[in-house]
Amino acid sequence: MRFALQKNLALMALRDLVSKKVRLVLNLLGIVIGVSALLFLLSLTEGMRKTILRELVGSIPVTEMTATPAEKDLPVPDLGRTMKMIGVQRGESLVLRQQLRGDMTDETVRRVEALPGVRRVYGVRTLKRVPTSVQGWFFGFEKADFNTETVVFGYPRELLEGDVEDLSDYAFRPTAAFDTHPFHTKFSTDVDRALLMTRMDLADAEGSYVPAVLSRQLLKAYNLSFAATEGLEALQRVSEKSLIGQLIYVRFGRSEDFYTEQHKVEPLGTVIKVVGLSDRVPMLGFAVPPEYLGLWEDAYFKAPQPSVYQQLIVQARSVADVEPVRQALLPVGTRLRALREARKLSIKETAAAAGLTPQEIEAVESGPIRSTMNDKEAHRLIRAYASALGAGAAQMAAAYDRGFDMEVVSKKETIDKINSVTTFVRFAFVLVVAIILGITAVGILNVLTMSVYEERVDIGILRSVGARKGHVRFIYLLKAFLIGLIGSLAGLALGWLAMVGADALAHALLRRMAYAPETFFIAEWRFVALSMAMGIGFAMLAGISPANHAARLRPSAVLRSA
Amino acid sequence: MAGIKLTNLTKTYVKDDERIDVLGGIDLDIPSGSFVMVLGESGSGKTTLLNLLGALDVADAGSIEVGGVGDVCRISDRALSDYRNAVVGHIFQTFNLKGIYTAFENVRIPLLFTPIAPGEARQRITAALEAVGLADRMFFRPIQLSEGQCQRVAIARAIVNDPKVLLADEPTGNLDPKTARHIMDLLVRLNKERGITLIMVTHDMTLLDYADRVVTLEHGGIRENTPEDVAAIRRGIAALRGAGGL
Repeated sequence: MRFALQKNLALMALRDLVSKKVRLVLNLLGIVIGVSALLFLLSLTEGMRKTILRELVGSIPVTEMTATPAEKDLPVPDLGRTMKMIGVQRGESLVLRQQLRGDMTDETVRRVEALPGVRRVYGVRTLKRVPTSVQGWFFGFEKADFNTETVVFGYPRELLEGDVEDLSDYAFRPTAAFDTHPFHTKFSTDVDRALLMTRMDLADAEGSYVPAVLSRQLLKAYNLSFAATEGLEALQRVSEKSLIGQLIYVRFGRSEDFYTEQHKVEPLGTVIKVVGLSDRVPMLGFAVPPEYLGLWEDAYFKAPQPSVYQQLIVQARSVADVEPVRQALLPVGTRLRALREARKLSIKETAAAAGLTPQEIEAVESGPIRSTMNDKEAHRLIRAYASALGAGAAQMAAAYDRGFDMEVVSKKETIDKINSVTTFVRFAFVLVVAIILGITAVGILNVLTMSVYEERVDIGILRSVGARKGHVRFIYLLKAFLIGLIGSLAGLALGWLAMVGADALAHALLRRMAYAPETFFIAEWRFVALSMAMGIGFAMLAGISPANHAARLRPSAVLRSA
Repeated sequence: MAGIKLTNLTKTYVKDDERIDVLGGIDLDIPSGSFVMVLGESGSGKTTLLNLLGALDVADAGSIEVGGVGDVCRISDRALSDYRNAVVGHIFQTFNLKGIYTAFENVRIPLLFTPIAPGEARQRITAALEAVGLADRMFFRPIQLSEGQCQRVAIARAIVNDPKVLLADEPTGNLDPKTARHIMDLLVRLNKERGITLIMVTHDMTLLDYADRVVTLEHGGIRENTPEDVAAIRRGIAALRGAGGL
């Protein structure tokens, strides 16, 4: 019985609203549009956020970051032009750029692993000195000879655990090094094809293939772009399952298409077998046990090569450790520049505060400090710069001494960036919808105020038979609430329909687009709750003034007006 | 039942800087169960008096002692709501029914604010509608009823909570003479059978016969009409009727 009065008053309010249908619909319209737009837009941003995160981060832990040596500046203004002048061609510019980066050794791995907050460091080798391409038939492409540049990554097994389903075959087999009689780039005859097929079957039978893990992103890109393109009927879509166990021929050497004669050596080749797919393997390459890389480099150059890493995969102990570890690996100049920019100081201002020239500040920031001056001079500049910013001078000098000078891409940073952009976009959408709902609220305020005037005799009657001021206020607030509730529910339904429709339309229009997600919308409960809360909240805000006005009406005055 | 005692009841309206002393400190004693008819010219304060008695308005000074309740002018807003719900019933000239509700639902309105079980509420509504002779029109809307029937619904609404006092403000003002008489018969029946104190405001002198007592409001005061006054008025009315004036 306790809520019987409230229930009856609610029914009374509902009947009053429904009795004026046109007015109710007009009142609801703004709420419906606002709520449906909000749900639609929030779900779209979440769909985009999740899709981008899935593509960029995949299943890789958030505590992980990738560190590569910072690129050294060449003392020439235009690297591309210079390369052209000295006869380096397109394909080699990438190799040359890579070689400009420093190499990392086991000693680097140990030093990074010793940093506070670091759980584990994996050194990753790439076959950067040996141009590599894959070619041949696989997964039924009997008519399509393909020949594409690739990068080979040496990934230790532990790095792939948890991502690749079955790693039992992922092990180093010394027998599977290079073929001494490699196959040529172009298969001009059926005999060539037959020979290659025989060679691949033989490697499979002998177990002398190299186990390889392909990029899951590559497969996805292939399926959503090349395989989906009209006119290339031979390129069917490929499932992960059908890819595992396939044999691919890999050729090491410089093709006539890409490389200059002076770098050309006799090509070599080997057979790899796909044992799994991973989110971690970059799109443009495949991963093999790292032991192969040394063997292949030695065989290619016919001389032992130094054992170096081109990339470190650093795992922090916790998410909170990611940023300190990242900072410790960055070049001192990058850290100082970030500090300066955070304090909104110009180079000139900083130079004046530090007692240095702007050129010296730029030299510290741009990084070639180690290659252009001695340590004593570098220390002097770094200490003066750090002191001018109020940063720890000794700490920065020590960071210079450690000399990691790396470019670090942390998964957390990527996720944080995506999340902050999404949050900003969401905030903008919420603001736009708030404006729509605000305008609607003014309309509701107007209509409810009119209702109070029209129903003043009813209000007088209610007061004359025992309704308290609070009851009258409750009825009008409830009317506003019901407008918000009904409008919000209708808005959610409309938003949902719009999402289904937009999804279907987008898939029809973008079906050949790479990375088209299964759905563009992810409607989470919190979006539903926020949309409803805003719809109801704005309606109720609009109801406060009319409700108070109704409660304050003097019954004798309104009954006399009847 | 509730006797009513008005002492020095004062109400002043201010309009365009002009003070109008509608009730200039009136005293009136109304015994429980009586039927008092209030006469007076337009603007003499008849409706104001009813509003003050029904706690729809607040007096500037004086007191309204209602038996079992105390001084209505001194109780809290919340207690006034309970007073309006349980002690008094209002009947208006224009019925003031809710058009989208049936007769049953209109009569139910006072019970919304009364803590009773739904079953009992249904019984009370049915009894009230039976008492006014509308048991067969329970689920008709006002638009489907005649004016007399609408006023009966309004009376049923006023008596559904079994009030001690009925305040009727020109209840026959919108009705034809025949229907007016039926309504008056009904009010008198309620007054006599249930012992409800009935205070009725009217301009219609032909209804004086129904009342036990007639008072006139004039110049901010109240004048008790003696039986001789009432008899004179009756004679006057009879003469007018004979001359075809009424």
